[in-house]
Order: sequence, then C-alpha cells, then structure tokens
Amino acid sequence: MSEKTEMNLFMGPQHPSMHGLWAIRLTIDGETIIDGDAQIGYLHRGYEKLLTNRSYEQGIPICDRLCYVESHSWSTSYTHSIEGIYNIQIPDKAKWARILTLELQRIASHCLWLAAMSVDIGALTMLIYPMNAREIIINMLEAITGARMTYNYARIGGVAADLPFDTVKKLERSFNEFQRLHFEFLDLLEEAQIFRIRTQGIGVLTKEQALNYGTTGPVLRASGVEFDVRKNDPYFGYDELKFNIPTRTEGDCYARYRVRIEEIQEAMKLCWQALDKYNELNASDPFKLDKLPRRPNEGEVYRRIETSRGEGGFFIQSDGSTQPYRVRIKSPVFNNLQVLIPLIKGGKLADIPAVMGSIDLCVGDLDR
Amino acid sequence: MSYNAEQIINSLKSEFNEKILEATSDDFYRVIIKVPSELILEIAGYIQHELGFSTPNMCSGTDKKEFMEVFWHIGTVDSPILIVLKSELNRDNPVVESLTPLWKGFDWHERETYDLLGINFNNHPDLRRLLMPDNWEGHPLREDYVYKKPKYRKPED
Repeated sequence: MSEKTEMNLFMGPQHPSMHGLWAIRLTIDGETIIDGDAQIGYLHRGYEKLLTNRSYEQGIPICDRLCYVESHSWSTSYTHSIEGIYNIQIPDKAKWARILTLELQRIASHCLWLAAMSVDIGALTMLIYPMNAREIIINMLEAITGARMTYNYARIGGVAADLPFDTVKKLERSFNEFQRLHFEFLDLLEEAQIFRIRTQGIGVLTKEQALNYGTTGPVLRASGVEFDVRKNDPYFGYDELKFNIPTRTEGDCYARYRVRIEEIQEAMKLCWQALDKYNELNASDPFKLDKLPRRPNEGEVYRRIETSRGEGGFFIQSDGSTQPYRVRIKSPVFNNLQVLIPLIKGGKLADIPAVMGSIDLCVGDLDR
Repeated sequence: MSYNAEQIINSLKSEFNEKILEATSDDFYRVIIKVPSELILEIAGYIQHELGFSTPNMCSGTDKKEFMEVFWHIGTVDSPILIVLKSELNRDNPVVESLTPLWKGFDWHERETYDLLGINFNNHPDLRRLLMPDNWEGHPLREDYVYKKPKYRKPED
C-alpha cells in the first residue's frame, strides 16, 4: 500500500448539489475531509459597478435580479438606502404594503430553501411539496405586484401600486391552503428518521464561531444568539408589530432547519398584522411620495434590512449627483458561507450537502 | 452592556486622544471613526475587547481619486450601533493591516477588497483574488481601470 492516501476532489460547479454556480476544492482522505477551499465568483456580474453607472431609479429593477429567490427584499433594501440618501420618510401605507410583501417573500424563499435542501440530502419527494406551497404565496405576490419573479414593486418613497381591494379575502384563502400543505410536508419530513440522522449533530456551529465569522439570520439564531435586524434596528414599522424571534441553541443543521420553519409561521402572523394596519388607513392616503428632492444629499448611508438569509443592506456613497458614487452590497450569504469550510473540516463527504443546504445559499447575492 | 454613540466616541477619544482624526455619528446608528492606517489594529482591538463589538459586518473601500479609502463596519448583537473604522491610504501603494486576526469574518471581505480595489492587507492569512479569475489584470473598481476584452483562444481551423 502506498503511504499517501490524500487526494484532491473538485466538487462543483457541475455537481448537482452545488446549485451550479460555485465550487469547493477538497482535500480528502477516504471519506474524511481534511481541507477545503471555496471558489466563488462564477456569477460575479459587477453589481457595484453597474449601479454606479446608472441613476438611482434605474438601479431598482437591476437589484430585483440580484438574488433569484427573493428579489423583492433586495430592491426594497436598495430603495431603503436611497431614501436615506434623499433623507425622506415614506408614507404609512407604503410601510405596511412593504412589510406585507417582504414577509410573503420570506415565506416563498424559505419554501424554496426547504425544497432545495431536502433534495440535497436525498429526500427527493420533498422537492414537490414545498414548491407547491410556494406557488400559493407566489400567486399572492403576483396579485399584489403583477409579477411572479422579479416584482419591481419598490419605488423611492413608497411602492408601485396600492394593494388590490380583495387582498384580505385572498390572503385568508392562501394562508389556509398554505397551512394545510405546510403541516402535510412537515409531517413527511420530520417523521423520517433518515432526515434526522443526516441533520442532527451535523455541522455544529458554536456561538463564538457564529459571532466571530459575522453570520446573520437563521444561521446565527440557530446558534443561540437572538439577533434580528427587525427587532434590533427596526425599519419601516416593525417596531409596532408583535412577533417572536425563533432561536435554537444546538447550532446544528437541524436547528437551522427548525428556525426557518418557525420563521414561516412568524412571517404569516406579521403579514396579517401589517394588512390590518394597512386597512386602518383611508383608501385615499398616498402609497408613494408625489415629489422627490431634485438632487440627493452628499454623504454616505448604510441601511440594512432582514432578508430571509440574514442581514442585507446597501452602503451608498453619494457625491450629490444623480448617480451613486460607490455602492457596496452587504450580502448575508457572503458572511454565512465563510463558516462552511470550518464546519465540514474533519467530517464526512456526505455531510457537505446537508451543511451547505442548511446555510441556505443564494449564489446571486453571494457573488453580486 | 451596551453603549450609545456618544459614550463610544468619548471612550475612544479618552483612550487614544489626538490619534483619532475624526469621530462622528449619523442618523442611522453609525459611529464613524477616522484613524491613521498604522493604528487600525490597535484601535480595532480596543473596540473588540473593551467595547464588546463582536461581529464583523463588512469591509470594503472606495477609490476617491486622490486617495484610497478603506472602511470596516463592526457590529454588536446588543444594540443597533455599527462602528465604522475608516482610514485613508496612499493610492499608489495602498497597504493596511488586516483585521482577520481579530474577526475571522473579514477574511473574504478583505480578499474581495484586494481583488476589486487592489488594497493590500498585511498579515492576511490567504490574500488571493476572490471573485475575479486568478489571472485577471488590474482591479475593476478603481477609477482608472480600463476594461480590456479578455483574449479568447480562436478555434483551430
């Protein structure tokens, strides 16, 4: 037998569970992972440069294409930062409409994540069920915004349109249907022992590690830190709404899974509260500011929102012209994915899809 | 234990007095601290150990034509405040100390800043290009960057 048993394995970008867009260069010894090097940048489109070559308004539909799973969060985040640069307050109606759509987007994104993660770890049937449930939410978003994938609903100083008159009825019907499907597929997944074996105790992220790597969102909350931008740095009207932040202390893949599942329920509560607040306002109230200042202020702004993957935000430096001077996108996945290599080191090859799936990566906003 | 913006500025000013060039806070809970580039590691260490700012948020830079600006956002889970450490670097040879020994989360951020702006980070464990291909020439977010079409190999006929 030869002395050297280490070998190199290039996992991705063609590997089916790598979502097609990034790769890990692994050093393995049999089934054990010794080291890894994540290689990203396959989807680098130069967003930061793109946005500085366009006026502020022209950047919003582009930001819709930043992440293909939750486009609305990103365009809203961009407008939120631009409103900081213009120093304007949005009308109440726009706030509640934004919260409603953002939370619907969160549910849709978590459903897609569940479908992708289950397939990654071999539960192939589970591709269909969450996608089915997501369809209901996407239909709801279509009724509000008019589009199914890139909504282009955010505007500087408000939203593009009023909510449809029958939103309450539609939302009730959608959520009833969604709840039924939701519990059906959760039974299917959580009762399966294989799913628990493959996720419980796998990829444990300690609290110190999670903080030191700057992770946010469900990854951080599954490690026992109660941090949510919606609570800690409230934007729009989140400080007036009642909701819990689901946290777990285990820090393994199963904890991250549970946190997201509980977040779906919280998001549904938030949708109803936002819609109630919206309906308290008069029909004639504005949903968008009529006039914007002619030119933005000079200076810089960083404002963040809680996207479904964690803290996302835009840092904008303005020189007073109609185009931003410098834009830096804070991507939640960019920080979260850094923990992947430390988590899989010393583990088995088959754990990679489980850990990777539980981090919930979207390469669109990872590479920007 | 959480501080407000004023306490942070006072604490830093009393510790480092005139070494801090400028300290301001804005309406979005950011405390912006401009420091000379040699003192980055020392002041960042104070922010981490004494003020308890535990999470790296982001790091990047801007090409300001006369100089290169580099900034780190450092957050905490107790309060909405972000401390922004800023430093001005020589544009021809931008070198600054890396903060990865304190916060591992800055690893990829600093690699990206090196990749896109050409800022070198001392003592970074693994300073390679991150988003652009390894053999790429130039740093695309610099103001004087001129895009050259990559040379594709022609199919042999």
